[in-house]
Amino acid sequence: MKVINKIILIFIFVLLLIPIYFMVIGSFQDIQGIFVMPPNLFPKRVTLSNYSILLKENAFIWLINTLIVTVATVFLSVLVSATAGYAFSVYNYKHKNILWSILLIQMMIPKISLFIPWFVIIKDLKLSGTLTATILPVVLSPMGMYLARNYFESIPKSIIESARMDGANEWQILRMIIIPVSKPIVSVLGLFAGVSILQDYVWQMLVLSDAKKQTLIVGLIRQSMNRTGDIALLVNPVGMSFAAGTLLLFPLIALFLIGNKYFIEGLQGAVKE
Amino acid sequence: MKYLLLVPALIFFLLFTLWPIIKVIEMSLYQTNFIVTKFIGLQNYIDLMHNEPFLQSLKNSVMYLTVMPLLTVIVSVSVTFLIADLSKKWQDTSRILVYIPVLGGGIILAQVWRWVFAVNGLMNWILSLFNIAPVHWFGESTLSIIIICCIVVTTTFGGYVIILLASLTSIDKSIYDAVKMDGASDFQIKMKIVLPMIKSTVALIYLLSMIASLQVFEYIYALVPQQYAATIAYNIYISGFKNSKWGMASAQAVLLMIITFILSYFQRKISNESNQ
Repeated sequence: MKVINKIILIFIFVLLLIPIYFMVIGSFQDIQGIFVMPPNLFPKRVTLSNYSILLKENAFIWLINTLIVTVATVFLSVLVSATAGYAFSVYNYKHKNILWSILLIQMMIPKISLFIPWFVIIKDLKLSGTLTATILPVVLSPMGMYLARNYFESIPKSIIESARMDGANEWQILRMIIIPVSKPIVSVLGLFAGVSILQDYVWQMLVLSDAKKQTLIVGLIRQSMNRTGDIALLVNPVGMSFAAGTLLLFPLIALFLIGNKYFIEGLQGAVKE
Repeated sequence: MKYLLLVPALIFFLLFTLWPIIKVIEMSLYQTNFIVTKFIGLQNYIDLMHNEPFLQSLKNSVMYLTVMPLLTVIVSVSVTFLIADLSKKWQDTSRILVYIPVLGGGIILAQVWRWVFAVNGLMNWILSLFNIAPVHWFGESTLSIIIICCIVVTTTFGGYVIILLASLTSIDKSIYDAVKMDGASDFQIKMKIVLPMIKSTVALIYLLSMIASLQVFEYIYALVPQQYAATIAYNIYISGFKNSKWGMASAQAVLLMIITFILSYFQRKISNESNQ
């Protein structure tokens, strides 16, 4: 029985990973190599031209922009989720439950419905086309606040109470008791925020129009669709889009493999009632 | 301190959740291209009732809504059951492997799916091995939507498998042994005993996938930028960001919010009732 399970599973994994494999292989091939059938399992003639055309202009700026956006989003998102989650786990507020559900309402709102008003608000704040505009709207994460609250509720209240009895103020409790045990949840929140900002194509594509102010995901995808100027003559659109996909996917896989333990803990935390 | 800690979340909530909701409702009552703005009351909504692309996207959304959540639940539950009986080492590796496509979800893996379903692409070559003529995969509505649903499922079910595996570990193993003694087959145990016990997680996955199915965007944008495959989400993008009919786009955004709310409300109600 278990052998059959394993065979089916391996078959599923192969199916899942085949597209990724062909994307990577294809990114090193010319157009003939990509469309030859049966498909090449290894590139016959390796070429780096897909990458060199893709990265010809602005790539370094895109990388820097991506780093700025990612670091800022991760920092703000962790801060917002952790403070809210902690506040709701230790303190009592008037109408606490209602307030909490309202705060999480974004879970039920299709993000695309918010893009139009976000666009207008960004314009009103005079932030059109800036990196800040890609960051601010996506900072609030209902999932993050939910995970943070779950985590902090698992810290025994008695420890906090006895510290309070000993005369510690709220700030000291936070610094001496809570922050030292928060590394796992901070890692979970940070990883989720990092992955979601690195995948966030649509909003960034809508906001960032200036080629010098783009992030990798916007710049690479746009460049791979670029059919103008001298690029048009030597273009291998499929190879370039494979190269873009490969360049975007591998940092995400690396991030996931590094934080794999925290990631899975975080997803598992999502079901804890 | 008590209130200070709420400040960061509240600022972002007010500025980028609550205010946008109010704003989009307001905008839906205007005709605007950001240069000329005119209050027209409910006219945008009335116009939408006769708007061909919108009605088509509504029809498509029903199709996405029927296929995607069901497929997601079937695939993620089956794969979870396949993994659940295996050793810890297999489970750990499987969790990583199912999650990798999730990382490339959206625009990233769309780059390669375009090649897989191209007229001279991988799928048609596989068909040719069986002497089947090439298919124009994204040539019409139904087939495009089904393919997009399948692609979305491959890039989302991994996360759900991890969640389901976690909820399985909370089940008391002694129940299995008791039922096994009574001679129940493995399949029977899973369908009759295990599945009901993780019902609330399955319901949650169904709900999340329902919401996601109304929001499919990147694959339509990258693979089939056609009206016949469009969701409401894609239509909002076209009306607003492409055609600058912002009032019209806002009205669709409001309707999409309402539809999502109603669906999640009923889905929750049904799953709560069946839990009692």
